[in-house]
Amino acid sequence: MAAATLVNRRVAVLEDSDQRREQLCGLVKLCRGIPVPSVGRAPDLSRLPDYFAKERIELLVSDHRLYERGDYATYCGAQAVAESYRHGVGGIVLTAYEPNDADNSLRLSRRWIPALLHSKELTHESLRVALLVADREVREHQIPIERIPHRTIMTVKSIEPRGASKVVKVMMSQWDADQEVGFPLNLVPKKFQAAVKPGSLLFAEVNIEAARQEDLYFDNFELPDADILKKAKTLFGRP
Amino acid sequence: MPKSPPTTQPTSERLRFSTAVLRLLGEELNPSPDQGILELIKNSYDADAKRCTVELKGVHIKGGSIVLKDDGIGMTADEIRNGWLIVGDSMKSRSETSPSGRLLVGSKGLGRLGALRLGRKVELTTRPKSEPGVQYRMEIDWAAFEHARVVEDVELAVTREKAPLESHGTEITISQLPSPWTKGDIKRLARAILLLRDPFAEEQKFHASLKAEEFEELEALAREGYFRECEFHLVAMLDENGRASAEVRSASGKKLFTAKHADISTEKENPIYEIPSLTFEMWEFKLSGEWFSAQMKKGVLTAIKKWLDQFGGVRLYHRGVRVWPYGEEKNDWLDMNLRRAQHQELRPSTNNSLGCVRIEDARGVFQLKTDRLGIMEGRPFDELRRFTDEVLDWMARERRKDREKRKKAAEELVRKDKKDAEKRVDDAISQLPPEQRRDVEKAVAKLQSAHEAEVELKNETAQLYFTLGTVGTTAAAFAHQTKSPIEMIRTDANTLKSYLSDPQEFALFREESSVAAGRILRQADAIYSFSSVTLHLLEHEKRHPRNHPVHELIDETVKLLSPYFDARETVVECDYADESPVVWCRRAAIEAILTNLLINSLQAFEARAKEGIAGEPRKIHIQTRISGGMVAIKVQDNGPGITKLAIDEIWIGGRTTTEKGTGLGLTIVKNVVEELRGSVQAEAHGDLGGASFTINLPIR
Repeated sequence: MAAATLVNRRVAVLEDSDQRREQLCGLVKLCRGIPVPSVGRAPDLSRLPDYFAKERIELLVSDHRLYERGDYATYCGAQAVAESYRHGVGGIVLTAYEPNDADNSLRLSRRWIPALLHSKELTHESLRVALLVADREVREHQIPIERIPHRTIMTVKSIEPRGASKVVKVMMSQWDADQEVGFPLNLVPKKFQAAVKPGSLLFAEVNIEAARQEDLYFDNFELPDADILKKAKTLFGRP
Repeated sequence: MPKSPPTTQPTSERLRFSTAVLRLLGEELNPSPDQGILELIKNSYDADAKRCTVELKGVHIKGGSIVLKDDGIGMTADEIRNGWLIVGDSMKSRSETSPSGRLLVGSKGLGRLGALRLGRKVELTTRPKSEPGVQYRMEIDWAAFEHARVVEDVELAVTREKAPLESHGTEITISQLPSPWTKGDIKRLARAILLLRDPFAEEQKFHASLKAEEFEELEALAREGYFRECEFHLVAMLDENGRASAEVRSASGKKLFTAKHADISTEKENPIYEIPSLTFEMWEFKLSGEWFSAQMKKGVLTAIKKWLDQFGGVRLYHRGVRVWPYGEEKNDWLDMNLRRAQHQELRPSTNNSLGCVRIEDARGVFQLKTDRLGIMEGRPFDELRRFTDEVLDWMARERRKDREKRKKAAEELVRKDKKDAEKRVDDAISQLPPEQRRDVEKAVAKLQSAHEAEVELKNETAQLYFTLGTVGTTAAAFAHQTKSPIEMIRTDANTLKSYLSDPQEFALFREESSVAAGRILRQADAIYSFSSVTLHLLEHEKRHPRNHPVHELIDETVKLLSPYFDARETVVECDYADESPVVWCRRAAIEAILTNLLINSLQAFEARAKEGIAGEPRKIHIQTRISGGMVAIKVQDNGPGITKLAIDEIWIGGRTTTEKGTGLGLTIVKNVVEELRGSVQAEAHGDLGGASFTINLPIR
């Protein structure tokens, strides 16, 4: 059973900036938790579970861009939190919220990130709430409604190059008929990628109750079958 | 004695199909009526027909009919029974050929079923070549299937008759169409039939046509063939060993660029394309009014646009027959538009080009999807895409080189013209009487200095753009870094605010609060240093040309960017020549070159870490050497090197492999260096393992 407070709970802190790490540790203390900062170099991604076990870590707070300063880590915060989720440790990602990150590296792991906190909203109170939400989802499987996925249809609007990768921009009227949302093309199984073209339809499981677009995740992509395409053609004049 | 249970002989049963299957296979697997009719035409092609005509009778209203006639080899009763009537088995193995040697193109018989189901009745009349004077007739009334439980319950009679005609061939009439056809439907069918075979191919051994004015109009338009108006004509081939070659010619046939296999295939580990031989041909048009009015062909532009509207895009012909929907409107299967968006002047789009990929594929490596819309995605298709992508990349590279060459030649010509003009002025002046000569010399000197002032003003403006570009690349690269201290101050200020209002809490966390206050001061200093970089780069004074000691400029630039190096844990080492080289330039010019190269290194380090690769401590090395009146400035790093772009491509504006890159940095470097009459070379992996750039500048 997860505790309702953070009192004396050990919270790992991954952050490549010394100053920011010091600040995060201070905030964890203000939440009455025990900060466990990873100094120097962060453990390898595959060794995180061992590190958590050794340090008796119960929760994790990680900055998203862990690779900017030096070679602190060879992965981003979203990957760290997703990995810890799979090993039963709830975590949150702290991000300065760059649109590129939201559509790309964050979206890629968003399914396994219980809470995402914008740096500009960071206070000890917002940190406390986010850590408790993460703990409830990972350890108690209490999944809030805005994290529950629903089978959703979407129209591909465009495919945009982002550095060496590509981002697919889609419109989901079930979520917001006026706002495009992006995700990396490599989130779609390879066998379907060729069919992802402007104007094409896709199905995926999406947590459409999420209020912010950066909180949306996409899972289990499918192509609509011929029957659906035919109906769409009848209704909208095009598949 | 107990009786043993009676034994029975096993019964012989059959798996049977409900008549509903006909609807499923016939209608639902057929995306459109056109595709069904195209399948019938493909059957004619497989039957060695030379001509195939489709006629629409009274289709504008309900109850019309479609009549298809060909002069192929026809079918015997046995062929009707064991081929034509078996759905899903077209009796064709993928490497089988027709009697005349054509590679078969028809599919699993599902398309034929779809076409036949377009009407309520079908009548087949066929005169087999092998049985002169004989014809077979058969009628299908689909209503009969509606009353039957399983497909096999409906009997279909094939009657043998004396043929009224000598010729062989097949005629299919699909009648009682349930709904009328619009003009748009007919136009779409006309286009589909015309494009089923490459309408621009010189040799046509099979001609399919639609008896309709819409078809005639389109065919006439296709015949217009504006190929002679193209800007580039690309022909790329892949031989049976998977080796590529290509050439690009101008409209007049002049060879512009040629490529061997190694120029095209850039995949080092797997350079050979593992697919059957093919040809990729494309014509690209320059759709600008200026281009055509310069050639006195104003009216032609509108005609070409209309022509490209109908026939533009790159289509795929497999065994001589078109595979849908490649090259259709909105089907940019080669991602040409996406790439053109990045390099408008170097890349074709689906709107300004026309082409086709022709694959014979005797072994049947490429397989069509069941609904016949496209080729199965898989290794052969991926290889095909790799080939077309790499051919288009090669063509863009050659065009860029050509553009650079022309630019250099134009600059050289201007320099020579200027020199000639100056000499002519000097000669003219020298022939004047001495008293006039002085006046003219004065006037010419004044004109020259006014001209130089004008040029200087323009150069200064150009430098301002380069500087602004550099400020932009810096801002984009370090946006997160600049934002971070502000966010930290906000967090600490919030913490202090909440604790100051609660004396008990404040007492408990007094030490934390004091640390937070100290952090605010440190972050304020960081913001100050980051903002100073931009202000320093923009100093007006730096855009005036002077004699500048190179080493001093390098030191100043490194110092200016030191907050970023510190924040990224990067060490910069300098190794200077013994002499102190001096360059006539604007300070801003050298700053732009170095800043962009140094930012490039920092982004490369970040990209490497992001890809999950741990590296050595980050290091940038700057070296200067003097030789032959030039100073060579070499900037190297121990990052991952240039890996995702060809060396030639790194200078193209907008080309970037990092998510925060603008793709402008190296373009600015090249432009500024050229303006200083210098040169720049790049190596993908230098002495330190990462990228290496060498700038050569003339010294004073």
